[in-house]
Amino acid sequence: MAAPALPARRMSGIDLAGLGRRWGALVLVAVWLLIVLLPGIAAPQDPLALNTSNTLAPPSAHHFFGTDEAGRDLWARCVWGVRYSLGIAVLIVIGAAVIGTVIGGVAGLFRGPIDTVLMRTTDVFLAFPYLILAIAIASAVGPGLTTVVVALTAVWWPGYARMVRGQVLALKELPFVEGARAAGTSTFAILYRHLLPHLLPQLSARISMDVGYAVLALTGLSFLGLGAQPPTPELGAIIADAHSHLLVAWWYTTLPGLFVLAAVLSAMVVSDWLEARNKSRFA
Amino acid sequence: MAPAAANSAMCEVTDLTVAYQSGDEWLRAVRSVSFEVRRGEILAVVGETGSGKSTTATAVIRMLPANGKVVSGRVMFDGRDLVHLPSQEMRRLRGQDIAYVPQQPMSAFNPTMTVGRQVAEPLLIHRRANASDAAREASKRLKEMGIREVDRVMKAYPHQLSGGMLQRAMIATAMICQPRLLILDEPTSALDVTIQRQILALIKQVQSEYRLAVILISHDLTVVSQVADRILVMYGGRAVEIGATEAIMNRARHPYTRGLLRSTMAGEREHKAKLASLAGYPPAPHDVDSEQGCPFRPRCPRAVDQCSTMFPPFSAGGADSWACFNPEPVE
Amino acid sequence: MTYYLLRRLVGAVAVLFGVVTGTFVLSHVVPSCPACAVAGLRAGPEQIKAAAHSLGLDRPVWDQYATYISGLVHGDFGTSYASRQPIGPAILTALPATLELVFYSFVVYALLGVGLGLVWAWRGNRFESWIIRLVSMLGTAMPVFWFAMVLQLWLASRVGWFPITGRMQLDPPPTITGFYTVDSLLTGNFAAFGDSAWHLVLPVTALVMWQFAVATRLTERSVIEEMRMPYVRTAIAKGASTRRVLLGHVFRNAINPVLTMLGLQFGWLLGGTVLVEVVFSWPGIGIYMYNALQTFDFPAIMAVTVVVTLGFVVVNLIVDLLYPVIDPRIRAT
Repeated sequence: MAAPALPARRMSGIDLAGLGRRWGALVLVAVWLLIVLLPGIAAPQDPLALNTSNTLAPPSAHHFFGTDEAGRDLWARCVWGVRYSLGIAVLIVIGAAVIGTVIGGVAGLFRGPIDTVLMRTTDVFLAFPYLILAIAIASAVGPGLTTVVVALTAVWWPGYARMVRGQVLALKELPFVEGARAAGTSTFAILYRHLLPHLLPQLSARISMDVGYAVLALTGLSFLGLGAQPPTPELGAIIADAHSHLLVAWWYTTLPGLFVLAAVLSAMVVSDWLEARNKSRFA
Repeated sequence: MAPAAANSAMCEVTDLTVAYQSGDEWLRAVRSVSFEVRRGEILAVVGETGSGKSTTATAVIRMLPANGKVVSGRVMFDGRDLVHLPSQEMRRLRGQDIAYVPQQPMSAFNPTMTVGRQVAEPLLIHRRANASDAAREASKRLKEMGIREVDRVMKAYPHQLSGGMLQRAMIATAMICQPRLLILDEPTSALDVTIQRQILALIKQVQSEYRLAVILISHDLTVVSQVADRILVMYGGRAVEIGATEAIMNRARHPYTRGLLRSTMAGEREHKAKLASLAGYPPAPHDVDSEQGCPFRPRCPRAVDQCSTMFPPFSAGGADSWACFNPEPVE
Repeated sequence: MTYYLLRRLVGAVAVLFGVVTGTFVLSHVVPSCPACAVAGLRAGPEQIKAAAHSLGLDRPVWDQYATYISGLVHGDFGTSYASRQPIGPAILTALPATLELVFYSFVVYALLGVGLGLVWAWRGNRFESWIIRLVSMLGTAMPVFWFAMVLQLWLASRVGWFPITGRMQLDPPPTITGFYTVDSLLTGNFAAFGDSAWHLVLPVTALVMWQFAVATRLTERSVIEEMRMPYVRTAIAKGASTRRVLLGHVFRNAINPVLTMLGLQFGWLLGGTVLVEVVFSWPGIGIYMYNALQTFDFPAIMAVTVVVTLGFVVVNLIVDLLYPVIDPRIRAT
């Protein structure tokens, strides 16, 4: 029974007023899909077009976000930049999730020395502060967007491995797994066909949440110069460039970040919806 | 507040109705229950899960969860109606004048605090005692409750002690401010049979020594028959029979009580019948709330037409009273 | 209990070993041509070979590894490719600045995050709390370096409430602890104290704002969960006030996951510090690493990685060691 004398609590979730979680999430996903797949519609200007006569111009009707130091339309660069950010973030997170699931699943199912080795490795990865490790890997491999993917995937998979291992350990005690084993199903088949459906809800909620965090992480790496190289528009790199012009071009500094903020918030809304759905289904 | 006379009611519950909120509606879990407990007597409240017995006890001490409330009725204690008492006053009564021993001693203690400190806590709350005085008093109480290695128990953490010891400690905690009313919620359900006997004996001993009024909640008629002076039988949120233990155990009039007796060893003695269980299931919360007539009707072998129209009024006879249109005959 | 401590210590050392090996692999094995960075862009194969030789990069891998490990054990972090100076002293010089920033950020973060979570769990969903919740949620969703720049632009550059960059404007106080705030107080220099504190505000704000929602959310959830436990009923039955229940009983039990979270959040804080130092030109090891990145100065990059990770491992070890202090059930194992 809940504690008496103390009033009942309810945690507030993210709820777009009136629309409710599901529609909010789906609308956002649709909008971002549009931006990612058809950037030309969202941004008519060419993100790479130089225009030295119109550098660092404030926002106007022609250039929503103004222009950067090379006269390029900032809005277009942001739109194209966010494509990279979201696309790569999704790639990273899904890659990390797959690797982590396999490793965590194998560790959890086999136990014994395999489990120990895998988990010790995971521990070493997790011992690094996440961004520091990413920086170290990215610097070693050499800057570029592929590097960022490799580095961040390497940083992200341990979290999934741990989570999946924990769940597999709990699940494998259940009778239906024993039944599968008794029927002679191979371990991988057990993992894939029997356990995965149970893992998916929690995984998907976490994946969508992590997409947001991955966007933040990769913009961070780009900010440090380790990600996309010029002239590829990437939000972190754009913000880094903006720093040199902090005093004269407020729009250059402030507006691209809002794009990142919007993308991450959307990921959080989607994640929130998935989590709520999981709770109502399985609680 | 004049002290209660030797045999006056310590606590008098009249027409108590308690409801829980489920979604948008309020469902009554306890309906118009009335009873009294006098000084120096043990009243057992017996019923199955969902009968409303725990809710009744919780309502007396005003510890209903946030989604529960007392809809109507009175709980008189010391001449005051507890239902309408300001919460500050109620808090003063709890632990000091009215003590509550919760279910399952193993989980009722805070795992990260020593047992000694938890036993002494009511003193710290109500008497503003300092830690050492309170500890001394706590040790005394623990010894009184039959704990031998008092020092060890005082310094121990709950997980280091057995269920029996924890229950003794819990009773010590309840008694440390010398309350006048003691409510015990299933004090023996989580314990082994041998320990059960010891705890029941302890309760009886404490009750007679301090002239307490005791409300003992249980689902086990056998257990309570050993210590209770009077028994209140509840079913489907209603009080169906109340009377002296001897009368209930030997001459119960309500069909449900009879059914309960037949399904326990105690009943077997009298009726020399085989252990028989009651057919069917107790009513669900929705039915408890909506039932117009007698909640036991669906399972009752003696049901008549009148039983579905209204809840029967109480009839009295000797040391017993029951709510039934077609009670079991006296043998 | 001693067994528990020993196991944790051994585990930490083992992990550190793995960390150091990992950084070695990253700096010596992974890069296609570590000497190329040193030799310069226009270097021909001759110069590259010479550079590799002078840096000991043409020796067998395990030999380099042994040198690396023994160097670390003696506190020798190697020589910077870029500056040809030993890295150890350079890091040591830059460390206090980062430590001061991290320290204040973490303290404010912990107090604000956990405190607010506790208050919310106690008082429930009041109307005015929604704005803080909204702000904190936005905090987790934005890039910390961007937010730092926004603060820098609007609160420092535009309105001049705070300094734009750096640790201090006045002369720094004599070095006792390396913390400007502490040292200035210790030497009675209140002007210096004010100045250094003033310079800390924006960077600390950026770092705290960035993640404190995690702390509030977890603390609140943890406390609310804990309030459902049976012993809370027992306490109320004794007549305990809400305050006593929360502070005396619940918090002590709810703190376990909070402590774990704080340990992990420290890692995020360390990563964020690098970014924030770059924005504010804060002379710490974050910016040292940034400069090293520009020149592909691998030994420097890896040295910073090892040092920062060491800090993280130590903090998590402390968290691990605090568990038995708080929860007596763990003491027994």
